[in-house]
Amino acid sequence: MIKSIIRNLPKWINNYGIVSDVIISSRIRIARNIDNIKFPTSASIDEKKLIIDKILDAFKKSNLISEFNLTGYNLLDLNDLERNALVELHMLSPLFIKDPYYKYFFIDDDGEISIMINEEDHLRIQCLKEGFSIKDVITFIYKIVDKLEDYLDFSYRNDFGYITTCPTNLGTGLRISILCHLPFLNYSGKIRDIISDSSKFSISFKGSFGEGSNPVSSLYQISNSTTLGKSEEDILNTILRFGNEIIRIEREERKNIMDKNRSEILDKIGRSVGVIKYSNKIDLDEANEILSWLRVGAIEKLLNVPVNLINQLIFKIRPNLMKIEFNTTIDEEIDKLRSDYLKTTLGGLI
Amino acid sequence: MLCDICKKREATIYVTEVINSEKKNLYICNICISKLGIKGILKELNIPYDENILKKFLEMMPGMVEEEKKEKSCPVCNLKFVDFEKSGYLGCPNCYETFKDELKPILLNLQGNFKHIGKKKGEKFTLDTSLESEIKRLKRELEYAIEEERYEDAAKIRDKINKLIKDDKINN
Repeated sequence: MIKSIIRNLPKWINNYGIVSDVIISSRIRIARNIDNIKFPTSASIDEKKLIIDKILDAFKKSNLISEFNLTGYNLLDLNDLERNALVELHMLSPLFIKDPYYKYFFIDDDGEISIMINEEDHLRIQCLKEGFSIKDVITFIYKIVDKLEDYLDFSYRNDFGYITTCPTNLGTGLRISILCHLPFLNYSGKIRDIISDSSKFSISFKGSFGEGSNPVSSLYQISNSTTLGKSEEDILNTILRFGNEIIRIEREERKNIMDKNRSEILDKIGRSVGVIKYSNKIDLDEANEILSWLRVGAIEKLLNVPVNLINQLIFKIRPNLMKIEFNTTIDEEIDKLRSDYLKTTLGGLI
Repeated sequence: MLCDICKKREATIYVTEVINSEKKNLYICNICISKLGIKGILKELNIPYDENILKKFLEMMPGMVEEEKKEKSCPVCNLKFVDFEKSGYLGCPNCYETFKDELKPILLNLQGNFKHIGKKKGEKFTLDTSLESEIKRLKRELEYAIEEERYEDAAKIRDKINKLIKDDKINN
């Protein structure tokens, strides 16, 4: 199952969701810990085993495995490439795979749910869906969390709420994030003001797939920066409001720039097509930038390429997913293989 | 004494600072401190941020962090407060009891709050999408917008509330 998800990608990447021109996907994760057991970051081997046993037992008793089509894995059952590929697909966290011992996780058949045991907290439950669907996702994920609460004694205090290893997750333990593609706000530079404003609303605004506040991919991860002193619904509403605002201003900027600077944008898209057609090697940064412009071309219908094919490629070109696709472990070959892959996949379309 | 930031609420924190050889008294209320954090307050008042003034603020706030408290350790997992300061991780659920006073100013800075108001343990999560709750939510948003002086947003939210009420009347 896991191999097929890695090869064919999870459902949320393959499907094109509502308002996916701006918001590619929605992710919610909830942190929980069992009472009276040390956090994984300071637990002994025996305690980590106990955490896994207790949680697996709760999963069995609760019927969640069959209800949500979950499959459980010991992290040691996966090779290094597979672990890293799942990080590239946002299904496992870098911290979780750093030390693979005494780690266990569940993934559903569609690759939408992932549940990590012994990450930073005893339990990290996350769910991903395409588009701007955080209302659906939150209702869905709490079905799992609330059911688990019937079988596990979660650590909770009346003053601080649900207890977490790091105080940044305390209270609700809830992190809602959306993956946005903002090429026009990035192009005009307006993104910088929005980012500096966002902290006022308890929003964290980070470049995704690339460093800094101005990633070449134009992909940004927007999430709530606080988890305490607000209800789950308040947090949801903050992201709903901010997400809607981002959609509005990115679309407005798109219209503006396409009216005034159309030839500049056509040049960017044309050059990107040229690189795919005639280059022999494409590194990750260049591929991120090219795909961002091709996505603009696809959305504006200047290219005859489906937008969700571009979404798939945005993930597919990551180093570990490339290595699995081409059955190689040699780093030096990746840029050449990436170039070939983009040429073959987009060949008849651009 | 009114708060120097909002100039509306009674100040709850009082700090004296010497700026350009001039003694200055700062009066801040709890709400402004939880909204802006210490750094934000200093920025608002054009006061350079340094450890000294941060310490003065923390001393005035509940649960001040003293040197000896850093050596305090959790009886359950033996984690010392100074270890938490280094890693950012607590050791076990009981750490929150052991270090609750020391954590409060930290939570205020990180989260702008130290009181959980979300779902309680044992409660099931429900997303109330009824009109009544939508209006209640919008009214809260309206309050936030006015508090944050976003008057344009406030006007839009007010129009939205009025439209919802009007539509409801037509439908019924």
